[in-house]
Amino acid sequence: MSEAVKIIIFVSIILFFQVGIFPHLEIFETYPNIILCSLISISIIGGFKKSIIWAIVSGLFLDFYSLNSVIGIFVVCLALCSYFSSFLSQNVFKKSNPLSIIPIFVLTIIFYDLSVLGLQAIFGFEARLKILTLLTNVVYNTIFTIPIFYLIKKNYAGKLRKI
Amino acid sequence: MKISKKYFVIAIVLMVGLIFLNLFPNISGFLKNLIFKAFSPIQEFFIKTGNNIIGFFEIIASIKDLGRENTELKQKNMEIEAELSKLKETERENQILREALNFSQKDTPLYEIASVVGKEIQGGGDWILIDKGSKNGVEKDDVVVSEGPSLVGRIFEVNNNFSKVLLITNSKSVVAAIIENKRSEGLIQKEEDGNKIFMDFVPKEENPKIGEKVITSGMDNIYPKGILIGKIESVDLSQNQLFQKVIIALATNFNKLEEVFVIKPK
Repeated sequence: MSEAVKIIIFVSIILFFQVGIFPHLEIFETYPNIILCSLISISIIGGFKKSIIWAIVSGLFLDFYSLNSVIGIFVVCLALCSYFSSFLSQNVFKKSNPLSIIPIFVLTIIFYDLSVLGLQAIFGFEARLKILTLLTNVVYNTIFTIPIFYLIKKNYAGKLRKI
Repeated sequence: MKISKKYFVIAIVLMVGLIFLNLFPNISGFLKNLIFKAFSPIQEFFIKTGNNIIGFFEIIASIKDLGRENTELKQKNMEIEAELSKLKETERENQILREALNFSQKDTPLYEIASVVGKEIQGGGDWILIDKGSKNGVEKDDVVVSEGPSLVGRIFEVNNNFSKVLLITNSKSVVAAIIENKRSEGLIQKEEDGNKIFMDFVPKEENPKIGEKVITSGMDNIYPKGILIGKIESVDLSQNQLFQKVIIALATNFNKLEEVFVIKPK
């Protein structure tokens, strides 16, 4: 199977789960954000330079599909997350075992949630920090990021290094 | 970790691009419309497939309750049929009275059917995207209902071919409501710290009963009077001295919305 077909399949699967399945699994106003999970995984495997394109494209997509009237909040947050997670994986948690990956997931998800809230507050949108929602979001997304990370590592690591 | 000049340039271009998009809402509106056009068939397909898959598992999980549910539904059906015949009779009387009083039906709203072609994709946003926009005469603050009709929300953002609907489950949404039998008025909104929808400002002396219907009161000048919102699920008396908090079970299943109606005044 060619790499392009693999990428199309990957993006379709992500969209299907994000749009069709996960909204039914909502707990405390939150459900897994597979776009963020895959961005963190790509950042760890391929580094910032490989994940920035995914951050810009998916960020624009999220901006258009949000109620915010300002475009760019999610692009900026995902780009920052991309840098943050690749920085952590290359400088702080260098060992590539599950135990060193989990803190990167947890910290980046918290960083993402806080940066979205921060930017929304700066632009005058309603932004309330709900601890229970944040904690659920962190646990929920971390659980989903682990299999996504290994799926991307197994199928796309070679392609990510080549880009 | 070093970032090369190339990526610094990309960041600058991106920032300029985003500022440009925000300074010219017409261009960003055009782009949004284009993206919605491209992705809405895919998203609609994924939403419907997801609903079917989840529905299948829900049926499997509820097989043991099907017999009891069937008996309940048959009984309910009989009650509804009786109510329907009463309503038909009332409608006929109403028509005669209208004619006698020389009333026209100009206030009857028009319903524009629309498909749900997208929804919030990160959770917590509580809005949907429908395939009707300014080209179909949809305007901001038009009211959206589902079959029944039960209240869904109001139009929040309008593009050429698409509109975003702010659901009544969104924390930004407030609906003036009335308890059908008791005629107690209040405001329907979402709990700040929880996930429930409640009716506030219902006086303590009122005694709302579980299962009573809650409808729109029309006092907010957005939602027309008489649209079903839901039923009373429980009553919380512990709030404060003056008012009680009435928890509402909404009539609309927002996870399975596929088609809605936009109410447009004639």
